Amino acid sequence: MTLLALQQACIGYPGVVVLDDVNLAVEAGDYVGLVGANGSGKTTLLRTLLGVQSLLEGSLQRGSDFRLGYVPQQMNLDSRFPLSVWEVVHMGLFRPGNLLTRTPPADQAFAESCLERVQMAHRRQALFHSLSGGQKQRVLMARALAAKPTLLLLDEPLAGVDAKASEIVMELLDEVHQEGCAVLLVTHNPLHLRDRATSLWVLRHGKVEAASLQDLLSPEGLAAVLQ
Amino acid sequence: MKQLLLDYWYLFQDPFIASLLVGIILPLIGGLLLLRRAVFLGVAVPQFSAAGLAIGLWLLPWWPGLWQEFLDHGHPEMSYMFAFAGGGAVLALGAFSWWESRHRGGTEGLLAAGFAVASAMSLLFLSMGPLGANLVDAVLKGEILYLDHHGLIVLAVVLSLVSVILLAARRPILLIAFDPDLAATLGVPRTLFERLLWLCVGLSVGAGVVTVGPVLVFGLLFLPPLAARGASGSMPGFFIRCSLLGLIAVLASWPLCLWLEQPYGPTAVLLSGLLALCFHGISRLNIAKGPRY
Repeated sequence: MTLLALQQACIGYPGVVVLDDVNLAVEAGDYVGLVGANGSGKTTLLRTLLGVQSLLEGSLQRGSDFRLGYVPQQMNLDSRFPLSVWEVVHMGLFRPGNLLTRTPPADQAFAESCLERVQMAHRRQALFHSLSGGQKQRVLMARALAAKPTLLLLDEPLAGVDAKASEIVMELLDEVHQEGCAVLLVTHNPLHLRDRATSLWVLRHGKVEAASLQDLLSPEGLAAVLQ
Repeated sequence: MKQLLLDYWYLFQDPFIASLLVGIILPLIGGLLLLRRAVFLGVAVPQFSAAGLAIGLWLLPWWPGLWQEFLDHGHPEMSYMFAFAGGGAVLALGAFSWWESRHRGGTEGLLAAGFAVASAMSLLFLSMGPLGANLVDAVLKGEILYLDHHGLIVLAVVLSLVSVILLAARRPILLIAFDPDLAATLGVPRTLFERLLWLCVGLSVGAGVVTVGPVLVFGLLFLPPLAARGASGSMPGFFIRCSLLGLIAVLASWPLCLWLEQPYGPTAVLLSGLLALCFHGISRLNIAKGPRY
């Protein structure tokens, strides 16, 4: 079952084409790795998939059972915002229909369980910006899971996170994937995708190309992606 | 003492209630602007509102009925002044948000230029206008002791309406400010809520400028939120601290301005600044002593 598909898409800003002729699809149960050097268009593609940015050409289709969970880079969020951990997780429950009303108790309980799942329930009253990079990322994972996603989209979730915290985040991601949620992971480091990714997209020279992990992890492959 | 207080209440009840309203509500609006990273906009908009008011006062003789009322009572109709002041603020906000949606960056420069132009327009139109210097001075200096009952009604209606709207829409507005990409992902209509916020800010600033003056509006919009942000552990805590600091500043300024015989607006802003500084200092001390994780 296709969750998300881009067909003959031209992606970029008015007057600036970043990626051309993009054809890709995410199926239920996929674990997709999206790899590319800085400036290759990863963020632009991601924002297009999120629906934040319009396509210049082509089409973006979403499946009938499509619910998106989004984990941004924690470094991109305003560090001075006086939000508690619980308030951040609670944002995952927002829907256009319930923005002006109270969140149902059942949804709140579910969000609470998501916070417990990422082992951050004991910090629910703490200020979000007082947490470490790894803790912030776990809280953002809980927020994404609170939306009960069928596709989890993560933008460099290990940026600014130490090795131990990275391991926790990746294990959590594996669990979520095993439960049937498709994953699209944007990363600089192809090693994170080893033994995980079912397909790989590489952004290179304004195109999105399918690649095998074996090719990508070879010295030539790494050099080609990260140059 | 009791008689003295009763005399003051009889004389100044309308300005006193107005000061409470702005002390509680303007810091909440400023808090939203601060979190939205639109502080520069909040600084420029009261000046545009003042420019709109100045144009309205300059045009007053063109409206015979209103001009006669001014000659009879010594001040123009409050709703007339509010229309120009609010109009100036809303127009400026509309123009800036239009610019922001079409151009990446450069908004700070435009705001600085707009602030300079609006300041010049205020002085120029007031200088060309037919009204007495005393009224102009009172409005621009924030001498709210002259505020009458009509002014209070306009202020109360506008601020109450804005408070209800912002209270209802606080969640999407905060989500858009904190994580615009997630807001778009969840299907939150960003443009709608941004425009709603700008409209509320424009109306509040307009009502504030014609009643308590731009100086007090500037000060209460930003001094309490700046102090509260570093010391708050949650959003409700932040907004409660904003309002509390604003309220303490406007209350404490009353005896001070009467004792010093100085205009209320600048007195309240200076006191608000001092309070913000003290609060910020205490918060930093608490953070330094607080637990480490």
